[in-house]
Amino acid sequence: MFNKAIIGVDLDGANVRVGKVYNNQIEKHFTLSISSEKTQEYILQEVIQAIDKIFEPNIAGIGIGVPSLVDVGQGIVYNVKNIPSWKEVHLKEILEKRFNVSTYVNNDANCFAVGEKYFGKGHNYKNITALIIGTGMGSGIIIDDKLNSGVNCGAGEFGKIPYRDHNYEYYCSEQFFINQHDINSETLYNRALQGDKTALDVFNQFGCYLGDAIMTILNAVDPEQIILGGSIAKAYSFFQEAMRRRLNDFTYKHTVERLIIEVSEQPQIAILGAAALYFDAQKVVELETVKIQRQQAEDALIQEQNLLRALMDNIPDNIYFKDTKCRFTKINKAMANWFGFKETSQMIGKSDFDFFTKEHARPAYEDEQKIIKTGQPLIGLEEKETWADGRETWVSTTKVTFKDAEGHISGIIGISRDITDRKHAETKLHEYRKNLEIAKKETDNILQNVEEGFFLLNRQFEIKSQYSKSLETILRKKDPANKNLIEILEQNVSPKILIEAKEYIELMFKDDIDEEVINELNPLIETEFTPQSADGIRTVLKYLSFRFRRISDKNGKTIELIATVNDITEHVIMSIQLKKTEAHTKKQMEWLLSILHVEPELLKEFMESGQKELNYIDELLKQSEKGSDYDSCLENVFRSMHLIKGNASLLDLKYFVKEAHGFEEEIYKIKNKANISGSDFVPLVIQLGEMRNNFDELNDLIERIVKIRTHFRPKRSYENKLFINSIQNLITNLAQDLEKDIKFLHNEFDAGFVPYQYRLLTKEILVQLVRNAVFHGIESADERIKLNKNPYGLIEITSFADNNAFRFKFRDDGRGLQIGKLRQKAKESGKWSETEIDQWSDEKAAGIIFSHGISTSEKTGFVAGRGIGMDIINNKLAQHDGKIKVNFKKGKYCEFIISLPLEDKNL
Amino acid sequence: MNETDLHFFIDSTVNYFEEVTNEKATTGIPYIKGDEPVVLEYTGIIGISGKRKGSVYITTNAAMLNDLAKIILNLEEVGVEDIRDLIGEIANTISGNVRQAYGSDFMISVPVVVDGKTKDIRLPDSIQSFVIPIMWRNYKSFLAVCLE
Repeated sequence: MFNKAIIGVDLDGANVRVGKVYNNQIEKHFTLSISSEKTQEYILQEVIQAIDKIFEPNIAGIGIGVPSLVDVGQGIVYNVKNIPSWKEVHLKEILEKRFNVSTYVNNDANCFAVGEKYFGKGHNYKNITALIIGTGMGSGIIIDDKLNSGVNCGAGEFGKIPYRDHNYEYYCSEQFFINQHDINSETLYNRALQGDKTALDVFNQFGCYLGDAIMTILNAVDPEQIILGGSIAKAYSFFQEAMRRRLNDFTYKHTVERLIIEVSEQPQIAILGAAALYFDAQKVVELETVKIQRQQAEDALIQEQNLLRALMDNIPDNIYFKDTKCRFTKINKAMANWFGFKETSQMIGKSDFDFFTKEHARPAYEDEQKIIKTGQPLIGLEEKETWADGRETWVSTTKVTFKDAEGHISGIIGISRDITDRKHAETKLHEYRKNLEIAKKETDNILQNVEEGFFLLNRQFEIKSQYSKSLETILRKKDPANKNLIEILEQNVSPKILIEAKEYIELMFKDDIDEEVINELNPLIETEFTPQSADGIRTVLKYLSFRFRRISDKNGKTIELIATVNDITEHVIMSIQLKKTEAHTKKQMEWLLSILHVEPELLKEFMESGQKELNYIDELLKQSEKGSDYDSCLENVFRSMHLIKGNASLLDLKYFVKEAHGFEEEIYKIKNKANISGSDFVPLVIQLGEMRNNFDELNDLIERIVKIRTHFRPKRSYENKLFINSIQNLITNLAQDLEKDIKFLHNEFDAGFVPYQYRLLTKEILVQLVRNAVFHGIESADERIKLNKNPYGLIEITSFADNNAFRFKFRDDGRGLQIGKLRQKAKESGKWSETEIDQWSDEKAAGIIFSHGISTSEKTGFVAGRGIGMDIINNKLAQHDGKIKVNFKKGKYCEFIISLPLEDKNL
Repeated sequence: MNETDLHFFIDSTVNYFEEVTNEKATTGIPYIKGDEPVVLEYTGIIGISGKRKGSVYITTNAAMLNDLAKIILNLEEVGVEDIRDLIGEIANTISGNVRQAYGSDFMISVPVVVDGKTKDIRLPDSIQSFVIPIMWRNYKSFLAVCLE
């Protein structure tokens, strides 16, 4: 700063002294006497002229000291001492305009003070009072390195303070020597130098007054240093002692002891001081800058604090500061709220122990102490807080240390965030995941062990990865995941079912069609699983049942199907079996109803004879050889079957009648064929098999019934009655069928006489005779009335017994044998020539009723008309050496007398 | 077992003879098999399972098989093995025909050949068995069909 070139100007009433100050010294100077009585302008020009003398382009500024009051800010001088015309001169403005450099104006005492500060004794002091004692008394005050001129440049006018009968200036300046001792100080100084006692006394006197003045200064300003200047100062050694002595009376001894009082030794101090105004002004600027900078720093700090406060107040995280004993020193609002306080101050000084259980506070304290000790931060620690009231919360905490100005750890800054909700969510998530795992395990268990095949199917017919293990077995396909169901089915179901299945599954994915409706159409509900062998042959392996249900997304759109497939083979086979059984049961029920009215004994007889006949038929078939035998075989078979039919009819066993009749029809069919071959007998043998089964079944049924009825076994007489009843039943049924009215007379027939071995045969014969009589013999009621007969027909049976034979008679009062018709039939049969027949007697003609294939019935029916019956009777009787005799009277009656030897040759 | 079934088995057998030898075979009158044995020197048996169960066999004498083998194999002398194979072949052909026609109803086993005259061929008791004599040249064979 001091290497700038400044012009200092000292103006007093007589001269203007100008010097160029550079590098702490005056490089050149110039003095000009001024015409102090002249006008303001004139003197101003003289001052300018003097400055011009040494002004150079490198001059940085001008400082002027003036013996007057000065408006320092505007550089205006007022009522300059000894220059009457200078009442108010805008010196700063004028000179700055003229020289175009910064110009500073101040009064001479202030110039002296800054001169000493920058270039003299005041260099090392901050608070200085520079006191000029010369023609008057003036002073300049430096406070904190800075000139303090006062508001009106009037500061430091200690001389004007009243003292004794005048003021300090009167006793502490040249005025004192002149007014009190009529001598100037210069002369007195010279005398004192020569030891003049009076002179020394006067200076002593002066020192006392100056001491008082300094005490006033001490009271007012309390500087570190007082620098004395001015013409009287050089006599300092003569008044110093008195002055010091006087100061000893000052109230604050310490102030006086520390006070430095020195005398200015710089002869050019007035010019230097004026130049120093520039530096003082710069100092002010500098200080001002420092002040602004400090202010700015403070503002920044405040702003930073505000930001920090805003951050702390608004952040939802808890922020806190703790001292090294882990007590809260500062916390934010969130933290206070977290702890249930309204004000942050309520928590200051407290610690975790005041809020949490010991179990939580203790380890937290130890953690924090460790952080303080090691300086190792703790980042993102998730802590469970257990509160004194038992509440539990979770926080994520970061704790770091902070240091004081010396770099020592002075506490902890902590930020914690409430993660209770997150923790709860995590716990729930964990539980959920655990449950999910359990559910998955359970699902897997189900899928591994369930018997049904389960799988999911997408729109592309692909089986998804989740399926039950048994699906592999059911579909006979290893690892069916991601395989196409249609392709799997293609190998295992018929092409027709495959097409239907594909269409059906496609329909299942069409959301506009009602699921329940298409379910009805499921073509795979009972699917034959028929794997195709290499030669293209399909074999039913099993039956599968597929069922499909839709799986929809939240918009109701079908995304997949869940399918179940079951092996229902057993079920299907069972239902087939069941159907069979049902039919069978139905049949048996039918039988049961039809046989309930029939006596078991009779049924047994029927069955035994039936089975015998069937075996006989089978034997006939077995024995038959080729073509030529076919006719006689068929004839024999027919006879046996006709017998069965007759017996069934006798007991009113309609089912068997029908079956036997069907069999007979079948025989006719074969007979009518041109070339009979063995395979033509197939229907017969099949029916034979069926009948045999039926007889076996009937046998079982009867045996069961017999067992039940054993206890109620009828007496012999009852059996005899049954014998008659069965014939009676037959007559009633047949008469009803043919719409005839017939009475049955049996008083003379004792069933008890019928030998046991002939019971069946007797019955068979009676059955055949009844059938012939009802059908052929007895006329209708109308016809009978026309013939003058009773409207009802009569059938009468009579039994006889002697030692050798059992005999019985059968008689009806019908039309008798129709000889004419019999002759005609005989001719039609082609068995005899016509001439031969014409020559027959009536008896001979009547005998042909015992030949096979002769019947006079117009049409065939269950009852008669097949031209068989009598020949059977004849055959049977022949087997037992029995005899039959026929008597008749045309239009009146017909009777048969049968005789059976008591000793049966077959037994 | 119905007429159609039985016809089918008979036709299959008869056709076999005609196709292979160009000589017609004829059938005798079928009958229901009783306790009497129906077995000749060589028998080829096939078992049937599935929807319907049962068994079918054809039994014949060596002489007939010998004649048949000569025609089929075009040989003067025929070995025992050839005869054995032939009865199996007949049974196999019948089963093949049956499989083609009935497919989904039957699962048919590989033919089993029994040679040398045994007591009888055991057929299921619970099911009726039908015996059909088959005549080819002067030889008589039997086809036995036992089917639910």
